[in-house]
This record gives sequence, C-alpha cells and structure tokens, in this order.
Amino acid sequence: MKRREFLKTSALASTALMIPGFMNAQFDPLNVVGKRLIVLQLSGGNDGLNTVVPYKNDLYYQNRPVLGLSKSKLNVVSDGVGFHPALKEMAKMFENGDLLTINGVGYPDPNRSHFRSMDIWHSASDSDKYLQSGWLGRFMDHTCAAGCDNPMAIEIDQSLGLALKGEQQKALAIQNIRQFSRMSKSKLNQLALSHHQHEHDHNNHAYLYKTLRQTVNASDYIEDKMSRVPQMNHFPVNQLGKQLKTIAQMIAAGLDTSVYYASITGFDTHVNQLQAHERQLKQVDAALSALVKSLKEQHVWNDTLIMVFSEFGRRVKENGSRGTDHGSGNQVFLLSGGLKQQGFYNAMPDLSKLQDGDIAMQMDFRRIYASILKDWFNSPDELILGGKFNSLNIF
Amino acid sequence: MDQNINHLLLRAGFGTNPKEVNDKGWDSVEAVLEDLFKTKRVNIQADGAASADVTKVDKSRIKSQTVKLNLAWINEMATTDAVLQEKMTLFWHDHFGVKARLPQLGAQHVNTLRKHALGKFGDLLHAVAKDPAMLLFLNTQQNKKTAPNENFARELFELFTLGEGNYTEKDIKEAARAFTGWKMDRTGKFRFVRFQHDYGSKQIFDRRGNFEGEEVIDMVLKRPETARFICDKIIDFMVGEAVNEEIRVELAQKYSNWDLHTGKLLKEIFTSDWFYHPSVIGARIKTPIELLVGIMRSFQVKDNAGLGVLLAQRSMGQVLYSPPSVAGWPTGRNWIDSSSLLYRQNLGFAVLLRKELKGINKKNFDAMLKDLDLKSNSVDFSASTAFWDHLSLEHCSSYLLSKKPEEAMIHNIDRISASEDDSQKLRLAMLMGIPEFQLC
Repeated sequence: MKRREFLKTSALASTALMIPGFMNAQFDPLNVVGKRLIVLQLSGGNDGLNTVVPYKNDLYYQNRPVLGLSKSKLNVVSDGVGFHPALKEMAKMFENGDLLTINGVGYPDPNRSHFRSMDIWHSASDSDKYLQSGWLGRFMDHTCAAGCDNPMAIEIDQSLGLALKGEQQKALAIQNIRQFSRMSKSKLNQLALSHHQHEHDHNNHAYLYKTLRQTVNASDYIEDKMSRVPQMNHFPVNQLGKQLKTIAQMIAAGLDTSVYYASITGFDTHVNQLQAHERQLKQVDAALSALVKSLKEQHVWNDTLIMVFSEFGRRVKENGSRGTDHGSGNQVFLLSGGLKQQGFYNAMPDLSKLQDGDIAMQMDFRRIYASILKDWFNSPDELILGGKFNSLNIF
Repeated sequence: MDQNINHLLLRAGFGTNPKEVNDKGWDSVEAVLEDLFKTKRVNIQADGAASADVTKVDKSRIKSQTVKLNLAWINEMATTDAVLQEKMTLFWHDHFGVKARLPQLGAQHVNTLRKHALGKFGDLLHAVAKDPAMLLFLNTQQNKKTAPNENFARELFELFTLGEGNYTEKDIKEAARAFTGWKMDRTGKFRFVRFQHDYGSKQIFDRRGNFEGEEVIDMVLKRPETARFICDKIIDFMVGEAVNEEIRVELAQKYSNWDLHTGKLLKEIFTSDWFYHPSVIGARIKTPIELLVGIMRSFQVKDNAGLGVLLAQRSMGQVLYSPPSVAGWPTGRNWIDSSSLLYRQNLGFAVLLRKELKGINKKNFDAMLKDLDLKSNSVDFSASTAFWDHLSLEHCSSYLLSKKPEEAMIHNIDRISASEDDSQKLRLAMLMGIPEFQLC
C-alpha cells in the first residue's frame, strides 16, 4: 500500500465499520416522535431594541438619533411595535400565531463580557457562580441516565458548546457529516475499539473508549439515516441556511434526537450597525422561515420548538460610531405550532426605567428554560436547573 | 523507558523524548527530581512594552501582540529545561484565571506567576493582588472608599484562597474596604491612592482593626482553610481526585508548616509511593495545552509552527493568556466529547504527517495572519522524528504513553504501517491517535 492510499484508509479516512452487532436495529420514526427543541444562538449580543422596535416611544428615538428605525420601514406587528425591516417572515409568523416574544429577558447582576455572559446562558448559573456543565447537557444527563442508544442532542458546529455538555453525557457536534464519519470510523479507531473490551470501570480510560464507541455508533447511525434524505433546496445558501437545513434534514430522516443547536455570529455591532445588523437579521429571517416551512411540510411543527436567544442586548443609547455597546436585557423568541400563548408574553421594556443605561430585566432566562424542561419535555426542571424557576405556562 | 520516570515527567512537565532522557542521563526518578526543581528566569514581553503609557496602546497591534506572546510562551513550555516551573505557571494561570485586555499586562502577570511558581504561595498572592492585570480584571481599579467594589475581595476568598463556605458575606464587604485605593498607574505599576482608601476600622473573620489590604491577605494566608484549599487543588492537578482524605489532611498540615512553600509540597508529592501507584499512572485526561506541548516536546516542534499551534489551542478550547473566566478552564472529562476527541486524536497526524488539521474554521484567523505575515499554509508544524527513527514501536510507546498498551495493539499498528514509505512517522502518529495518548 502506498502512503497516500494508506492515509485514505487510516485515521483521516473511512472504511466499512467493523464494530460487531450494534447499530442493526431498524428504527421506526413513528414510534419515537416526541417533542423537539431547536436552539438558535445569535452570538455577539443582538440589539434587541432595534429588533423589536417601540416606534411610538419618543425615548427610543432620543436615544437612537442615528440608528432609530422609522415606522414606515418596520414590519408593524401590534400598535406601537414593529419588527426590524429585515424580519418580514418572522412578522408573518407573528401574525400566524407561530411566534411568542418574551421581552426583557436576562439575569440579576448582568455581565457584559460576551464569553462570560454566554457561559451564564449556557450553564444557567447565577452570574457569580461557575458551572462546568450546560443546562441541556444536564437535561441529557437526566434523560440518558440509563443510556441513550442514539444521539439525544446534536450541535451543528465544529466544536461543542457548553450548553450541551453534561456532567456525564455530551452531545455530538457535527459540521460536516461526511467528514465526521470519515474521522470517527478511521481504521485506527476500529483497531482501538476491537482491542478494547467494554469496561465497567468509571475511570477516564473507560470514559475515552465509551466516548469513542458512541462517536462511531452515532456517526454510523446518522450516515445511515441521512443516506435517503430529501434535498431541501429552498434553504438559503449561507452558513446559517446550511446549518438549519442540516437540522431539517436530520428531522426528516427520522433521527431520534430531541435537541438541535445552531448559531450565527456577527451581532457585535459597535460600529456602523445599521447595515451589519440588517444583514444578520436578513439571514436569520430567511433561514428560520425555510426551517419553519420544512417543519410544517413534515407535519412536525406542533412538536417542534425553536428558541432564539443572544447572550445580551445592547446599550439603549447609541455610541459615537453609529453603533451600540454591550447591554443586558433582551428579548427571546419562541417559535412553534404548539404554543398556548402567542404574540407578546409581556410588556415592551420600559425605556424610562433603565438599569445602568440598559434595558432592565423583566424575566429571568431560567424561567424560559424551566418552562421548556417542565412543560415541553416533561422533565424535572428544578433538578436540572439547580433551583426553582416558575414556568411560564405557555405550552 | 521506565514507567515511573515517564509518569513523573508527564505530570510534573509535558512528557519527554529519547534525546532529552539520554542527554540528561535520567536513569532514575531521583535523577529526574534533582533537575526538576531548578528554575529559570524568564521574562516574556510584548514588543514595544517599554511604552511609557500602557493605557495608550495601539489598538491595531493588540491582536498581533497577543499572538506573539502566546507563541513565545508555548515555545518556552516546549523547549525549557525548567518544566515544573512552566507547568506550575500554567497551574497558577488557571488558578487566578486572569485575562488581560492589554497584552503587555497579561505578559507581566504571567511573568509574576512564573517568578513565584515554585515558591511561597504568600509571595505569589501578594504579588498577584497588586498586579495591574488583576487590578483591572477584578475591578480593584474602581474600588473606592465612597463606592467599594467587592469583586476582588469575593474571588480572593472564594476562588484564590479559602474556598466557598469558609467566609461570610460580611467578611467580603469589610475586606473590600481594605483594598480601596489600590490602583494601577499609567506606566503599568501598582499605586496606592490615599484619598480613595478607607482607613476606618473593619471586622474580618471576627477580628476588628484598621486593616490594610496587605494585612487582609496575611490573615487569609494564615487560615488553615487556605492551606487545605490550595493543597487540594495541587493534589487534584498533579495526582488526581482519588487521593484519600488521610493523605490530604497530612499534606495540608505539612504545607501549612512549610509556610505554604509550593516547591516543598511538590517534592513531597513526587517522592511519595502513592504518586507512582498503578491507579494514579495514566489516570488523568490531558488538558489541550498539555496535549499540544507534549507533542511539541516529543518532536521538537518550534514556535515557527505559528498558525498551527494557535489553531490547535483555539480548536481544542484552551488558549494561553485567555482563560474563560476567573474560575479558570474546565477540567478532566469536560475536555472530551465526540468532536474534541476526534480532533485530539488527529493532532499527532497533523504534526507528523503535515496533514492539515481537519475541522478548523480558518476564517477567524485571517486578521491574525495579516498581522503576522503568515500564509495560511503555515500550518506545517516542522516536526522532527530524528531521534525516534531507530526505535521499536514498543520503545516509542514507553515515552509517548503513560501506560503500556495491549500487546496486540502495538502489533497491529506495526503490521498495518510496515509497508509505508514513512512508516515510522505513521507508527508514531498512530500511537498518538489511540485514546490512551489522551491520558497522562
């Protein structure tokens, strides 16, 4: 064998899987249709105030002389409130009762560092506590305590974020299914697994092999399922469009997965915000509407919930560079055919009562998590969140 | 290669290679221990660091300075003789979790950590508390008599010394007052601002007095909880979480008697039988930096690998000078999931066979590349296998792996790589590709 050929079949390439008797069980999607959650993360701190705009509020235009959006351009959704001009499809979803907006979401003692605030959202910790596990990871820990045959959660990314890391269970992070499969089913991995007996130990050695085995199995499972999946050419051809398309295809393929996670960067609009923000929201609007369309066609819209969030909102007063700086309170969007309440969950932020120049917290984000865990997934929210947060009773 | 020697070098340093062991004449654990505690004066600086006003930094240069500092430290770890000093510098970097916005201050902070890495914890803590990077990081800079900021006082007790539950909220409030007026001046040096300082009486740990910041630090250093907390963290890092209570109590007592001299504590650990117990050897998951530097030391990869070394840190989630929060980086199994494991398994292939690392978004690095005049194909790690070439696979594995893998595994790796052109490189890469290589 020449070196190049060898490499094809070694650690960076794939051959047929040689792990005996595992993924053979045929899987009937009809038996497992449960509730699904898709999280869309807007990284960088989305300017919520220019996303859902209080166009009758003078304080808005006083604080945003350059960036303020006029009513004529907005997609008006209710008296005094309009969605950003780029959010045409989301405004329609609002009209159709597919969308719920929750205003002023945040946490006490807000942190304005991207990294730290995102960690707080991911781990669901207090802002002065540091957790090494994420809220969806702990949800997996609970649900898969006795083992899960198939990947319970998948992040469409190259690396796994904290939200999906549990104390025991970790989600899969996949950007490119083919590459993931090639790397996981390398000849070397087959060799390693074939020499390794199942260990009952809980040491790190056993943990590594368990992770490797799960990776290979999951990759096999996904590759098999995805081999006969529809094209879905209606998704936009950009990074977010591709991510959400992969999710739609995975759902169409009948994957037994409860949580999907996607993210888009570029919301840190300190400078020349108008154009940048519009570009980002356009992508979100187009990709989300393609996803919702697909989910409706698949008749799974009532069982699928999409949550859109960002690590913080932005300062109410615009800065001197036609942009905005890091803020705190922000809106969260929930989209689903299974919403008991639609439109606005609560009042628009009070711009006359700011907290350090930021939109004050009206709602702890963990109440939304609690609602999803308790009412959507029927899971013990208190245990998973490490505290009691009142559910919103919206599902 | 003796398993105990390799174990010691993996834990106290970043692993070794046949040339180093030969050059140093390391034929016993004792011989290694003699070299291990030697320290080196290293001062890694951002270029243009002599600037009189650190706050007036050229923003366009922050990125390239950050990259250069990172590579300089990685290179130091990969080439130094004072491996334990570097390893403990990394430990303290994680312990204090400081991320400095100005590269020059970040460099200064890590130099402080390095200077005291193997010395008395008290000297380290006093120095770090007045370190400009820390003053800015935990808002001591904003801590005034009229408007106290508790951030530093809280983390001092919770994360740096006593641990949660060993102080009250009132202790924090009162201690914060003692640190009022602690500031950084424009040249990047500590400055005590009298008119912002609270000279009044404070009550901390049931003692009352007109305590100054230095006195609060001395008070906290004398408390037994501090000796135990730091000692436990060092044991977890160097040995593992499975060390029993009896040993922990005894070591914390000794650490306390030694006036929190970290070097002495480490020597005690490395000369204890239980450190070499089979349940300890190979039981720990390498952090990304340990993994990367380990490979670099094994194959003499230098910092001219630039981009590759940076990409690897970024992709694996641990970037020097950039801890995620004051609580430091994740530990143990939190580093391992499906995608990170695949990446980590392939790192050896990327280094030795000059394969591009898979799963990297190179776009993020465009700006850095421009700053550094690097081309994106400089992922080449320029590794050398010269002093591995004549060794049997089994012999190689005694350096690269903490524990001997199964005979059949070695045999099969040998078999499938035998007919290859670069068969030795492939063998070595495959050794680094099996899950056991993730352990130390």
